[in-house]
Amino acid sequence: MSVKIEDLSKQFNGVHAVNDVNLEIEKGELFAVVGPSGSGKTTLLRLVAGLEAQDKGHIYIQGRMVDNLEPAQRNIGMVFQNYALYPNKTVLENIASPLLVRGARLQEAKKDVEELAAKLGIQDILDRLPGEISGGQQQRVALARSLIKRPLVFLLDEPLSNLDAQVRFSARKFIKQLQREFQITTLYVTHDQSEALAISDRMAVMDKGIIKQVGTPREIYNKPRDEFVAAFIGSPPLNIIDVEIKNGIAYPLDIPLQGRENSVIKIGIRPESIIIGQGYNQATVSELEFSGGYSVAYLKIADIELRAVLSSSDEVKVGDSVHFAINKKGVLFFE
Amino acid sequence: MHRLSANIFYLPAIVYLAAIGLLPFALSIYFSSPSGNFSSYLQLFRSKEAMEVIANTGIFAFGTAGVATVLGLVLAIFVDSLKRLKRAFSALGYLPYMIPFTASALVWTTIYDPIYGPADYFLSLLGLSRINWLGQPSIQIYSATIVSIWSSIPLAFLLILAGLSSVPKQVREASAVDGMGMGEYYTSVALPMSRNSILTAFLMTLIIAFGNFDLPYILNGGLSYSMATLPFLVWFQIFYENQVAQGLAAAVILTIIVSVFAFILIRVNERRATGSKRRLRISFRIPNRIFNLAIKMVTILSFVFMVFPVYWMILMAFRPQSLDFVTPPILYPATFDVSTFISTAVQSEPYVITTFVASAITMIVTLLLAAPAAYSVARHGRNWLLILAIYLYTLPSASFVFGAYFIVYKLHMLNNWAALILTYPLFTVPFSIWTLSNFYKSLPRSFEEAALVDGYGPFRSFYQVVMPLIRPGLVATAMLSFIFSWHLLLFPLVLSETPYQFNFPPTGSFTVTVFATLFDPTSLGSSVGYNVWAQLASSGLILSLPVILLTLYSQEYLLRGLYLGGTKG
Ligand SMILES: Nc1ncnc2c1ncn2[C@@H]1O[C@H](COP(=O)(O)OP(=O)(O)O)[C@@H](O)[C@H]1O
Ligand SMILES: [Mg+2]
Repeated sequence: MSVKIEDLSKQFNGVHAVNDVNLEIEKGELFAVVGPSGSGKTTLLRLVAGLEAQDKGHIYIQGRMVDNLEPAQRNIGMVFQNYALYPNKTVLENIASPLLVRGARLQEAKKDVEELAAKLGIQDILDRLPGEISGGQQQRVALARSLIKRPLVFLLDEPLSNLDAQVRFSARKFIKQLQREFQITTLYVTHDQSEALAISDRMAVMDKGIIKQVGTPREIYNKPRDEFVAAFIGSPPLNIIDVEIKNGIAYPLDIPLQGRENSVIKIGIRPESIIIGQGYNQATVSELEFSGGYSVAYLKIADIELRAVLSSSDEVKVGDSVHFAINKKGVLFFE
Repeated sequence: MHRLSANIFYLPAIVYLAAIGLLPFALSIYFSSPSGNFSSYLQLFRSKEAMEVIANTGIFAFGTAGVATVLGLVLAIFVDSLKRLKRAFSALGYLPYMIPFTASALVWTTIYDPIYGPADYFLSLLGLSRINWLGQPSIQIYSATIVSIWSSIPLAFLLILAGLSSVPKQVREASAVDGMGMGEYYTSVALPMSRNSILTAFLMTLIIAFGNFDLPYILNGGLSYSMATLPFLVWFQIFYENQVAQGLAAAVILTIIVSVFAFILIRVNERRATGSKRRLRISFRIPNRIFNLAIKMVTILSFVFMVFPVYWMILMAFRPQSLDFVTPPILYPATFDVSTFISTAVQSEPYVITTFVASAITMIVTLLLAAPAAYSVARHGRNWLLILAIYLYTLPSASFVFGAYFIVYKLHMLNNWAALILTYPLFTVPFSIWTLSNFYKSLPRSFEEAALVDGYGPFRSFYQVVMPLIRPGLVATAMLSFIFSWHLLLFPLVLSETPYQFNFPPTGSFTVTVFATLFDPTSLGSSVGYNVWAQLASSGLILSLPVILLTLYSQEYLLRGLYLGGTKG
């Protein structure tokens, strides 16, 4: 076990930013924490880093309790959301700074820095200032600065949020590869569920300071524990609708459903599990959104509206009457 | 926007500044050598005394700026590194800022007293021999410099603290994760990042010290050259010795010196706006333990130095004279006696009325002139106006005093409230343009763009959309203008002859700063022939009270205004 978080809580003026959190992160694993803004992800990360003191609970890094240690003594590397590079220091000095602080001379540190910089593809900008390089390069410098001291745990807070959409994809892959190459235990915080699904080995979904569910991306996507997780994970977002059980069917849809007759229940339907052109459900297309590789259709059936993913080969227009089937793997039931 | 309406914004301010700033300035230059042969300058340069005064001015100004910047820096580091009680310690740090120069100097004359003064008492406690601080020619200028340092630390402290606090929180946390201690964080990250603030603090305290008339004037009871600085010489030659041309020659030389530093300040200010990328290398490294210890020691000593004179003033104001003139001095509150304070307050009434009226009207006039002018700096790109404002602001009152006197004399307004109201905005409008333009610049343009789209004209958009949004800036500027006017000494001294006579139309325009000097037996026009410290301290307190109350009441506003403009006090 590389990081163990036990009954961790932190309040700010009576608000539970982190509420009784328990997590175990395996060695070498990329663990993502995802949740809406304000759910307490940053606070959780800062508690692990030692930048904030918990009200209650314990944090262990490789078996050692670090509750009372300063950030620098916890053997962590951290990349801040806005990178927090020292603007008055060169890239070389920035990356070397954790070594220099430990008493190394710049000449000695230089070799290590150059080697690492080469791995990150920033060897050519070592004598520039942070203000003179691009956002993507700044991020790599920040990554290098936190990797140079070979930390046991790598903490990343929304590392992609300051990058342009185009660079974000490659940066994401880069971080994943770097993490794999260094075999470094990583706690990765993001509000973007697709990012968490794509990058993590395991992930936790957080809401209002509480961990809702922990699992692999597949588990979380396929078996969300509750309505919140189901609604938060997946794009386009899950359809959540009320249906009435009539004769073993979820009225007004044509889905077999066991349960108390005539009771109204809430179910979730993944937009990508709706297959147009098959089945017995009948609906009118009320709106279409083109998204490049696929489109989203809004299907009106009785008084409910469903988002459905269309492949580019589906030919429908607004106002068309269509029939569709629902793949039952994409139907989620909540208690 | 139409060119015409854009110009109307700054027209009133520029007309005023031309008439009461540039014209007196030009008159000063002209009358410094009316025949055009520069004989007054030659005479000045040939006189040994004048050379001594110029040297003194250098000692006084650089001594003040150097030491005040270093101590302000240490205090700023201390307060910035605190996790709690930041506000309380900041208040200690700007305590002397709330005491006008005139009151400070008066209090320090008692501290420096060769028989009963606490300064010599402290020396004797340290086993050192007594010093005649204000009497011995070879050390007089240093004694004056100490008082000036005392008054200037707060400005340096506030400007540098603002710089240190503008380091992003995450950069600071990154330094903690990297394992930097306080010493490394400040020397290698925070101070290099705040170097423009530090430079500004140095230049501001330097420029103010160069132009400081009040301190040397009051401390220099014997009118000796060995304690005089250039502003004092200007006043002394023109208004005491009637050597107008020579006095103005000194004024022009002072102006030239200050202009050099004003130029640097303007450059630094531009850099602060755009954010320079040039780097500064700091190669020394101090062990954290030693750094922390040094900061704490210097901070404690500085706080004692800063607080004691204020404490001493309050102590003297509220005790009978008999407790003042004993050796060793009594440094603890033994009795509480308000009688002297009350009688002095009653006596101060005509002076307080004059000062209050002049400061309040100045405050309003300043807002009316500066608010639209600063808007055209921020939004219509009238950068030259900002440069002019900063420049006029840095010039000492001695640069204008003769020209202003000349104009007031020609207008038959001497010894009249109108004279103060006419001339005071010269000091408040320039810094208000500077401060307010920064407030406007910090306001997103989208508000005005929305107003424009909604069909507002330029003036309506300014009054109905922009003005309400920069209310904090207007409040700060108004307060600072009031405080600033309240402080002024040189202008009311030369433009007035008597206290207010309680008549109508009002005559008599001595201000409360002049009132305070009446109780200094060594000062010109003093009303007493021997030491009356209780009255002196009471008058100092009366002079300081409105400033203290305003400052405490509107701390937040003032600090913002101060940082954005970088204002002197
Ligand atoms: N330093 C702080 N002071 C007061 N409240 C805070 C502080 N930091 C975070 N909070 C509050 O704690 C909650 C969680 O914040 P945060 O951890 O930043 O969430 P996230 O990173 O998921 O967006 C929010 O309600 C936020 O307002
Ligand atoms: Mg966050």
